[in-house]
Amino acid sequence: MIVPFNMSRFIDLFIDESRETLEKIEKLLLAFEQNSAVTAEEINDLFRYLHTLKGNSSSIGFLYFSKLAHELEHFLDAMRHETLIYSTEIGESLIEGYELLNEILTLEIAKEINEELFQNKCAPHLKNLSAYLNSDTQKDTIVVPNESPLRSREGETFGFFKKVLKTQNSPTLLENEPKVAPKNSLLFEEQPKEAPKESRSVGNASIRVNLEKIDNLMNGIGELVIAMSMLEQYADNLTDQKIKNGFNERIGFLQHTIRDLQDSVMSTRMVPMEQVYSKFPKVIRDIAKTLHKEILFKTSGSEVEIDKAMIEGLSDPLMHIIRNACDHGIESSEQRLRLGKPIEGTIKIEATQANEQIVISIYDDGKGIDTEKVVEKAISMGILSKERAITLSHKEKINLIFEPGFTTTTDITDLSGRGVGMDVVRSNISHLGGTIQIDSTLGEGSLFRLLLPLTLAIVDVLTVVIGNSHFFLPLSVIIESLQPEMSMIQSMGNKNNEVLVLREEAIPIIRLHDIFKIETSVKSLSEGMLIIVRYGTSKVAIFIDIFLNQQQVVIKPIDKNFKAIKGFSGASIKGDGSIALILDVVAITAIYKHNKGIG
Amino acid sequence: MNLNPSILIVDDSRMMRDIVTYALECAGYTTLTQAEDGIDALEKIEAHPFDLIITDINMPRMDGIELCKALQKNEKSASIPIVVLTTESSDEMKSKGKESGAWAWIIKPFLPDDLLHVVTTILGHR
Repeated sequence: MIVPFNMSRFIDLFIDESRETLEKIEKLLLAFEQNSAVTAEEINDLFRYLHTLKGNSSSIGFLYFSKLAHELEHFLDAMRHETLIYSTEIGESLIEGYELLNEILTLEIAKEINEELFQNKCAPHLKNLSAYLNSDTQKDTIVVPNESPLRSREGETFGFFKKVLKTQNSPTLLENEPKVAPKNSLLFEEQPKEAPKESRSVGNASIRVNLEKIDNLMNGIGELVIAMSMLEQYADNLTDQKIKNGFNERIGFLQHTIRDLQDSVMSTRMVPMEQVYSKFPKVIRDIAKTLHKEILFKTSGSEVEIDKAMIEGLSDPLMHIIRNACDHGIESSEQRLRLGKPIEGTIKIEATQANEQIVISIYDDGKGIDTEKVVEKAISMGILSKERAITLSHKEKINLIFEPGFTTTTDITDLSGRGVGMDVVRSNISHLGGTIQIDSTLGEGSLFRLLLPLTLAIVDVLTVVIGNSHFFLPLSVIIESLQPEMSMIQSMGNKNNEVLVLREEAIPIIRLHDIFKIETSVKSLSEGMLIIVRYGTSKVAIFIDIFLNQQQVVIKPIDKNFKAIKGFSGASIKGDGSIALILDVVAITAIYKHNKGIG
Repeated sequence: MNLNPSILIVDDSRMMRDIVTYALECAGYTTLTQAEDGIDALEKIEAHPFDLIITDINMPRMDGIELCKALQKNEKSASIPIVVLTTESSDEMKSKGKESGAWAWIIKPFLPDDLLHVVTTILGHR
């Protein structure tokens, strides 16, 4: 069989582009709904998006999707020519149409679409649409051409407006070209040759690159960073001071170059926050509708750039926080009215970049976190003792919501659901090398702040030593380090919990040698070091023998066979070629609490 | 006659531009440039002479018909042959295309052979 042109190579591009176009459609439709009105320009844009979807999908052979886009385009055409005026009802129908487009696209990609399924899903909706058009011919079914329009199309497929003399042998102008193709050369089953790459396009400003290729490049740079630190270690062992100085000078230059290279590769991985934000308006709209709430969604910092690899891990936690804000944060319209608040609740998401960190804040002006309720619940769950409850600060009370399985809502809605709690959100953020903080005032609202590193690939660490083992501790979590005097140490509770009292703050001490059962001669706190690290919004002090140098390392994921080993977020290679594990403070604290029987 | 004609491909869809580019590359054309709408095309034509323009009609900012008209107005670009490549097969589109100065039309989805036939016919004629 002769296949007209090998289109499969364009499918990924088609999917990407269609998703982008669908996002634009979503944005427009939500704006329609918000403004309860449309401009001629917006209708034109919407028409054009549908037109592009139709044309592209029929070219790629997604005929059901193309048919649906065609029907919606037809509907928009009536609006474009003002034979149909926008109403809230029509807006709803368009949003339903948009949802169908998404659904059919997914089915087309999975190759799970068939005539029956398509009719079941789309026919009722399209019948509704055609009812608006007052057409006499209301359709119960839609006819989808079952063959590619490339072959089944009737009539002429091309033509000339001007009288162009037909040359006898059309490709003659290319007779000196080695790649001259006889007619029909493009009808083949498989692509026989690579498309020529040389001198392609004169003025293209950008190219599309597979993320995998960039990851490979980043890995290569990672190896360079490792080779670099091997060189540094080697230089340390040089005895001749003159040679050593010369060596170090050149290493400095190399270091500088690697840094620059790393920065430019990093910048190719960066995408604007806009990509993260774009998912939320539709979700918030749907929740607000279901719960009969009025919610205004504001964003800022959509141009702030973030590592593409980070987006994937960030989507779920952000979605969870936003769903929570809609569901449990923002009050119902009646309640808000009674409280003298604006009827419309506000959820705001903001991204900023500062000090090699991305800060994402999610704010809502809802009812805030009722810390007394949280404490009550924590006591009833057995997470917290009554005596301890009295000593807790406002922040510590709020942080109880990070305890596994914690929920204060008695009525479980299917929106934010049960099961996945804030503990999962925190551990997801921690996997990204970030931390989460919450601030909330009862009756006024809540603020969730995520602090994230710029990249997932490379991290600045401190090498810490316990016995004969070396570990890496990410610098981003470290607040300070000190060698404690015994007067600063106190014991609390009956389980012999040691705490460090520092500037009137009691910080739990976690002995790393206990956690990992490592033999060490340093057992007395005054002989070793305490590193105070951030743990959510509170702190813990990690006890180690000593720390060595700071360095940059490339994070390598731990093989899944070792996933059962808790306490580490990854591994990396040291300058001497040996492997060191990267400590995960959240996981370590969890082990500590488990061992001590807390929580 | 130009042995390596330079062709400008104008379409707001990246995929469509790549498909047309690919079809032409397979036939041995190597000097191919892409533009994403009429405005972008005009800027590129201003900077660089082309032997042929293949354009979509439905595009943001400036559509294909407006592009044809703008090219006709300018003495420098009035003689460049234009092929419209569009999903619209209506007579209205055809008459609009003809009036605005296009040389030929092709309906999307297109057969690469049709595209090549049109392109070689026009370039051969020149």
